[in-house]
Amino acid sequence: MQTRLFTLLRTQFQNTSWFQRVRYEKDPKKKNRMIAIGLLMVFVFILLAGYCFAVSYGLGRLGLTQVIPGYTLTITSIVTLIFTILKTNSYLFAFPDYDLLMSLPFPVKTVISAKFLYMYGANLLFTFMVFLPMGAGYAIFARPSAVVYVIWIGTALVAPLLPMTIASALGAAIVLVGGHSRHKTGIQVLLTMLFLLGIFGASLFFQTQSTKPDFNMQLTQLGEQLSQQIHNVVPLAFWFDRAVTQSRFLPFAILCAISLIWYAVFLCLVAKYYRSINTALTTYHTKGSYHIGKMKQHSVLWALVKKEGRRFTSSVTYITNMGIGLFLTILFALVIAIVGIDKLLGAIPMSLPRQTLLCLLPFALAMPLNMCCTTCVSLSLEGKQLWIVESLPISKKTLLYGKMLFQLLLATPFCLISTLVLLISLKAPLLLSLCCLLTGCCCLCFSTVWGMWVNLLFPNFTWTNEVEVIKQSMSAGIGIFSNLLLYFVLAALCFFLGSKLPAVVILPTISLLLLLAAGALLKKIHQEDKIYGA
Amino acid sequence: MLEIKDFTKIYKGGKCAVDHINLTVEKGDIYGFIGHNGAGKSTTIRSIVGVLDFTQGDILIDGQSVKTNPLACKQVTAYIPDNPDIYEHLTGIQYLNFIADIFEISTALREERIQKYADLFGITENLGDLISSYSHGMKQKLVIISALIHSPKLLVMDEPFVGLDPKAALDLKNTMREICKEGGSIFFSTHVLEVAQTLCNKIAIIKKGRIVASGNTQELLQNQSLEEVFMEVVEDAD
Repeated sequence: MQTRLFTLLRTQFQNTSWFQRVRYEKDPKKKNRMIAIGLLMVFVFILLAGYCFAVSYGLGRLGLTQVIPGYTLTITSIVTLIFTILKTNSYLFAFPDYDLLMSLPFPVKTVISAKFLYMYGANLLFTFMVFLPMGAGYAIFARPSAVVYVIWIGTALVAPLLPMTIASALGAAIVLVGGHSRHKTGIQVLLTMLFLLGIFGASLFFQTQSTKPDFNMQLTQLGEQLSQQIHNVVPLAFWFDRAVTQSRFLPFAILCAISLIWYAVFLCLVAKYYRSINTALTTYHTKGSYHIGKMKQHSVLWALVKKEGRRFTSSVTYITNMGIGLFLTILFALVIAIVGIDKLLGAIPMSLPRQTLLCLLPFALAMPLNMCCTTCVSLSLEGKQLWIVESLPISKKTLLYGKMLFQLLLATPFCLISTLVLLISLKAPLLLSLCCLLTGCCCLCFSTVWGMWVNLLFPNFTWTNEVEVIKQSMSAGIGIFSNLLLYFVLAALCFFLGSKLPAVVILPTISLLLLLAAGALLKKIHQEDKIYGA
Repeated sequence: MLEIKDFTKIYKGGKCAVDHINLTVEKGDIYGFIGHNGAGKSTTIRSIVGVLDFTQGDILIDGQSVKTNPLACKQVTAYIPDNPDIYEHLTGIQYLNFIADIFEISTALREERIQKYADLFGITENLGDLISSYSHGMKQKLVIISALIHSPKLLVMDEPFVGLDPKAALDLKNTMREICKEGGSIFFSTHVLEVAQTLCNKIAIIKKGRIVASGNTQELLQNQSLEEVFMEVVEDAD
């Protein structure tokens, strides 16, 4: 079984490996682009590692060294949990090569293990990106014994297991509940969103349950309180803390045992229901009783928008990944409206004038709203069906306008509703409210065009699993980071200009600049002769 | 209707897939394009329909160049690929409606044509189901219907009979003849030499990117079977 598992796992990694693609790519242009992507990824990893080290070093400087181990495990656990639940449906179940693998002489457990370990490999990379720099920060201040280094590395190896198995088990349950229904996509999206809401709700609950940190209390007491909070959120962090701070192997052994036993239980349970889950997912409800009735004619552009809409609503992965930002925007607005901005701002140790606050509002909303933009991936998602749009009598411009219009139609209601909710709750004056709405819409327009441009620069039509495009592609990554960065920078700009200029001047000016930038990008998109890069 | 002039396609890396070929498909022709795997058939077909760009020469459809006026060419052409990779998240009727919208076909006309061809190929009752639930043959039938609903002047097909049941294959042959009777033209590749022999009035044989024989079917065969001619021509070309 071990040899077969290794063979299967190796083949999976080979099939999606960056090295493999670079090695065998003959087109120098594509090869260079892939090398550039690789270098950019390395840069992102260095940034992430640098950030983690800075956090760890900062905690150490504050005298909160004992918090670092638990904090490290918490970050990786929560991120792994969220990422895995969004991936389970297409990696573990109903993956494209399911028929091929199940027809080969592999035990079901080998297939599940190979798929699970493939996800584990990707999560492990992220875990080490966090564990190593944070461990370095910890080592500087704690000067631990050699045993702690072994425990630290060992924990990094098992850290993804528990959140991954929990997320996969929940993913399997969601698939099992929704998979037999005719409306399985809708049910799976609803349950996944409820689960994510549960994570956010639980983390809010634990924060409100604990007493508010008092900056005057002794740092050792503060450290203990923070550790307690972390243990509430991630119970395994308790054993990790004990193992590291006391240089003991027993808590580490308990942590490993819990992770491995839970993984074994998960494997047995999923193996038992694996075929039925996949059968439910890969079989379809067919009526076979269609009669051609009255049809409607649509314009070419609207036909393309409708096609995009159907593509979006057909995939749980697409909706949950791209819809999460829209969902967070509404959640963010509702939380502020219900809890009250003054209460939330009370946690920040600085006073913020109302005028400046309102000026920041469109950008604070633009961050979650635009970080997951469908235009960053919608062209790549044409995949093997690219021949359809290529052979149809539609111009490049019309095709891309269809994709951009869909994104605008999808996100505009969320933008308007969340902005209006906040403006009403903050009792903003009319003129400033209009400026905020205008800026929100301009941010949306810019990010939509920017996403399209990014996808044109980094298309991927050779994917075998849509997750490769939606979650792991260069265009999706650039879309998320660039949008977050842009609106953070604009918010910072408003923060500094807020005291010097009125918001009704700042916001329309930025809106105009965003529209001009979007226009320039559109012009560049039109000038591109060859859009597909395939 | 279709004129291929000095068409050459060299892939990046230097591989010459098609080497200076010339072909003319007249109105009313059913033109068969045959050759080994990797001979250059699909490359030629994909270039005709505007999916692939090419290195040298030109392709004219109804007098318009594929290079300089691709939209006008695509407006009068329909393409059926060798593998029916179509939008699996749509239902059959949604896909047909999408194609009809792109070709701006009136509702009355699309209803009439969809009814006619869906009945002919026996998939009317399945049009309300998701394409992902279709078999390979059903997807192929759907692609054929989508190609026919806008009454193309030129129908370009890559291995159209693969995956079709015998009745559907016969119906497609009859439809091809009907299209040509009405003044349309068909250019298609196939490995089924019997089909090419009985259906096509013109044939071209391609080997390693070069046309090694072409012309009127009767003149080309001269009391031999197409299989014999194909083997002879291909061996002579070695």
